[in-house]
Amino acid sequence: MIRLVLRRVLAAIPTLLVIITLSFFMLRAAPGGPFTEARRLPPQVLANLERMYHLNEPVWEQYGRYLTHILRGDFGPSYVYRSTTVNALIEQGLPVDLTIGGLALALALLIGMPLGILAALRQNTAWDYVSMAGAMAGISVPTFVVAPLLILLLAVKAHWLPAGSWSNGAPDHLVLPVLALALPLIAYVARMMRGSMIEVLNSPYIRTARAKGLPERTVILRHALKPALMPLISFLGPAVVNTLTGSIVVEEIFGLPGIGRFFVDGALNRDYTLVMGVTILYAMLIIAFNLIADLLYGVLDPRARQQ
Amino acid sequence: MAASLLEIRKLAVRFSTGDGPVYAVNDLDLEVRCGEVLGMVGESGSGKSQTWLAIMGLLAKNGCAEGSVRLGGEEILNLPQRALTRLRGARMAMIFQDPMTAMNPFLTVGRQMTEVLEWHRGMSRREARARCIAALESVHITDAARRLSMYPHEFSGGMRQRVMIATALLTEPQLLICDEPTTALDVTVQAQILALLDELRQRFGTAIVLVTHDLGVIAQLADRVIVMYAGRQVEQAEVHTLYGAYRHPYTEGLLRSVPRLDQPRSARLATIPGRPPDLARRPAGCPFEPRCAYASEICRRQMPPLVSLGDAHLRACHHDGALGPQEREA
Amino acid sequence: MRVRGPQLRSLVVMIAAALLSACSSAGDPAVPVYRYVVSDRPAPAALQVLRRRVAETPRTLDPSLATDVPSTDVIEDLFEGLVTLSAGGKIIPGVASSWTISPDGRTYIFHLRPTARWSNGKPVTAADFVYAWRREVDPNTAAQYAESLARIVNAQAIIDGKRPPDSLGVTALGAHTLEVRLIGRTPYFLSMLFYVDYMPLYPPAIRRWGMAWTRPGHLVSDGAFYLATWVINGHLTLKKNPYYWDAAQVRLREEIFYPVPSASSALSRYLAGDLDFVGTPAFPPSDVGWLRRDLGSQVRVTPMYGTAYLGMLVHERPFDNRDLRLALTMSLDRRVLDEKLMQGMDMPAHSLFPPLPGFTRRSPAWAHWPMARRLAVARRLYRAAGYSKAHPLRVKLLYMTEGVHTRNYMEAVATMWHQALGADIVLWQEQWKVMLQDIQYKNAKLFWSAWVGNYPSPYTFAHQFMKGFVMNYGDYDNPAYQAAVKAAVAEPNRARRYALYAKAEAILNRDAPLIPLYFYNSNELVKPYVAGIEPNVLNVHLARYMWIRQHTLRQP
Repeated sequence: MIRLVLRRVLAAIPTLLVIITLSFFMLRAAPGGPFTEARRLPPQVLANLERMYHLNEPVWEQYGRYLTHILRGDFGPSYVYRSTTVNALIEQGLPVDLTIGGLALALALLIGMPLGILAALRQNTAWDYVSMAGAMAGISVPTFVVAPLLILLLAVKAHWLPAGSWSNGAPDHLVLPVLALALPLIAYVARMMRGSMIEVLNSPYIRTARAKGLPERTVILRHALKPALMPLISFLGPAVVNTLTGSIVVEEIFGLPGIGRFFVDGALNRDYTLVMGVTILYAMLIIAFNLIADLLYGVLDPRARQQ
Repeated sequence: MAASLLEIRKLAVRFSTGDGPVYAVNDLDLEVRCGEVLGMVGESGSGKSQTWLAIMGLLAKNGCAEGSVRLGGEEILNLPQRALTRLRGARMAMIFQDPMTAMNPFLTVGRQMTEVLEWHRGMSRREARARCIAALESVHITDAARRLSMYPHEFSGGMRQRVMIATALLTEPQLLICDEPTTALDVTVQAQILALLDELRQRFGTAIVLVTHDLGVIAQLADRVIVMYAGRQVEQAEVHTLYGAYRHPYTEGLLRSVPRLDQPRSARLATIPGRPPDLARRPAGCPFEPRCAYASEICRRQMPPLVSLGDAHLRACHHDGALGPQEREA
Repeated sequence: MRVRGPQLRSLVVMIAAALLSACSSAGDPAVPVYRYVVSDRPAPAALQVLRRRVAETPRTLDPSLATDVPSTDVIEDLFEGLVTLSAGGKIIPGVASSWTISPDGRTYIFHLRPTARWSNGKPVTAADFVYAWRREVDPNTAAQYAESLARIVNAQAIIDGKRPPDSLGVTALGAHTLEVRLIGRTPYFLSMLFYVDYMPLYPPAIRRWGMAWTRPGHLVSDGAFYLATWVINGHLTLKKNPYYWDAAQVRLREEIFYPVPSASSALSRYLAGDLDFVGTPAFPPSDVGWLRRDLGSQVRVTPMYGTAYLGMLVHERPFDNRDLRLALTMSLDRRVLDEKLMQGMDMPAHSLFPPLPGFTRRSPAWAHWPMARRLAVARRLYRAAGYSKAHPLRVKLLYMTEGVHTRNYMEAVATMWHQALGADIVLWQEQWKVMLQDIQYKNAKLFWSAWVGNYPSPYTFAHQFMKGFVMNYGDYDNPAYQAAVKAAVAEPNRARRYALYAKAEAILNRDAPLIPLYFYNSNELVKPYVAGIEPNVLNVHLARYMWIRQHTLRQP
């Protein structure tokens, strides 16, 4: 197990390096720079700025400087948020995303799993059709449609919940963003759970369990549930990516101070260090969660455990 | 003759599909006697497996069974779920073709065995474990205690089938249904498993139904044989009678397609021309007629009834003449 | 002088906004509106909390480094310069209680209030201003808007690294006396003193915390409020500064800013009761009808000091031809554009300078003609410039992707020109920063532009067309115009000064180096219980004047 973790961490290093290098040079290739403003800066002011941020150095030197700083865990100063470091921005934004993302993922599992299992057990009944049609809608209607609708119905019309803002994570402010983020995930989990449950229920070992006379409850809880959960674990990695990218939209719409908005605003404003920092963070999160998914797989599946 | 254990009368198995109903088993009458080994042969799709799945209440969701099946005089066909859980695995057990997939890969072998005793016999896990160790030893698995905590993938195919058999016999059922128990195994392992089944029958007096497409397996173990074709019984006989004096052209075809040691290796195996009929369209006449070398006009029009030839030999065929290679060459 | 750039937002939010406004702009009467019973008396001190919207999260709270509108919005409540603004937008004494100007207009002596205090209780001194202004022009600070101080002696040389920062023409004559020396007469100088670049700084805080001095707990300010919380992209809480010299008149206990980029999100947050005051743009133009009907006086549309126009490269083909420029500007029916696209939310513009109290604008004569006559003349000019049906004008019109309504507006403009003249306009959208670069590198011949003045003087607009000014992107160069503007700058008498600006505007109208589109109006939403928000052209609303009235909610 430790060897696996070590091997995967080592394998992640070249991946990260490629991501860092590509984004470093692609960002600088984009037209405009962090200090392109409607009012063109006087050359001397621009020169002062570039000297301050070492942008006057050859690009290779900048790249080397950036790499050595990253090794020290220093993402550098933000060019746009001029009184702040990228590390401080990430420290502030990440907990927001982890909170709404984690809650949404938990909600998705909590609601999506039973929904999918029930649909599988009542396959081809009205319950199945209704919940799966709902799930299909949940998957195909994008967040940027769902979120404003939620705001319109629950905040603007019903006045039940605030329409946005973080307010230090006050529960009433969390409800709508978490819901908006969770709805497509719930749908996805439900559909996946249904599919894998149906597949497992048709497998020979379930027939064996039934032939042994076990009651249906035992057949499902003891024999079918765990194998049916396995695809869900492989889904964990991609789900984290979905939640991260989905949260960019949710952050924008609800005005949440997460890192997704730094990513978008940073890219629009050519805040090189900020975009790089968030990109590296995203890449590391994705790698980490895929590793966690693989480890979980190993813990749960005896066949994978042995390998 | 031993007492009758299982009586099947007018059993039919029907599946509803997008193309309308499909009859997998038609009008089946037979009985299984206490302690005997009944072989059932036929090609895939002959209805031999569906017959026993129906009796076990394990048909797929779109399948339904009609007719009557009595176990020890008690009607067991289409029992409610609750009653089935008391019957299956206790009074009758079933093992399946592929021991690789028939065991749950996520549970230890011990868990998959003890749960049977815990449920049917109300034993504690501890008691059940002791019994399972004994059961594994009785199917010649050594180091049984340690193996109980292992997972199926750590066992070979033959070992798994032994475990399946041991599990099935934990409750000492009156009837053990083996659906192609050796098909997925190596030839040497096959022989071991068959020997094991024979040994267990003698030890426990369990009646065994052996469902297979392999006449060789039947020859080794069965007392009586039923030949199925297209959901119907076409011939039934004592095993010696069938091999020596078969009276159905299909049985002949089956027997001629078995490799024999007394023929030169270069000789080509005979095959039965054509394919089994589409079960969704039921012809008026004999279902084997299109593939039958002896077919005559009547075969096309009229379904041959199952008639007794005496000496517990039954067949369903219009052809009165002799069967044999000379006629087919003529 | 700052550009009010588009509120940057991602595509998805715009779609969401479009969707939301589609839901609501159907004049949706089903949206329940909070109604209040409001008294004239202030609410108890505990309830003196104002929740307002800021268009984006401030990029910094360092007055020397701020370049964006949201930052200045917040900084203006945190800090106070020598002068400040009244609720109505007039320049009034701030930290300086009085000042004298030398007869040549080049030396200012400011007398600071001895009562002015930092939020930690320390007095605000002339030295704090000297420190802040030197820091602003110091090349090591790399302040983007350092040139705001360019009228002060030696400022430009310091920015250029040719002189040390302590050579700046500003001297503390005593703890509470500040002398400022200018390079020439600058009538708008007092107005400029309201800029955040001219605000004093508390040197010990910056020396101690470095870049992090703007964090809550570190930041020391001299305005009516101090910083309590700042979550970047999240809310920002200001609390009343008990040491503020006029604290007795400040009623708000707390002011909370919420960054909400899109107008439609701001509208829903306001309707949901999360916000008490939403500054411009508070809602999409398409919603103004039902909002006015349902919210009444909560909807405030007031003139703002800004102009949207199209710029042209006047020394390059095809826009080096004045007949063509005139044909294009004359053939636009701005009244139709305004009514159909902006729902009357902006004012049609035919010339550069926005309306200003006391200033009489010079519209071109054709602006008063009937449209048919304008079109006839425009077509003649178009032909005179050498274009016809067979040889139509083909040109790219550059504008930015951000903002749905800009795209609609540009499409309407192109259609109008096609119908009126047969011109073939290719619409070309670019991301804000890319567009800016293309304009600055002269890659665009016809491009979208807008200017919003931060101080109420025509000069801030006139400057845009002065030869040599960095923002004169069209390279307009007319000595007569420059002479008129320079004369206006040097003229101490306001009436005569305005007359000179009007003369300059008339020259612009004749030369047509720009195609004016509209003057900005601000649109704001203010809950009936919020007092102290008065309309002003600079669109600056200081929280020191605001307070919450006693009110109760009347359930619909």
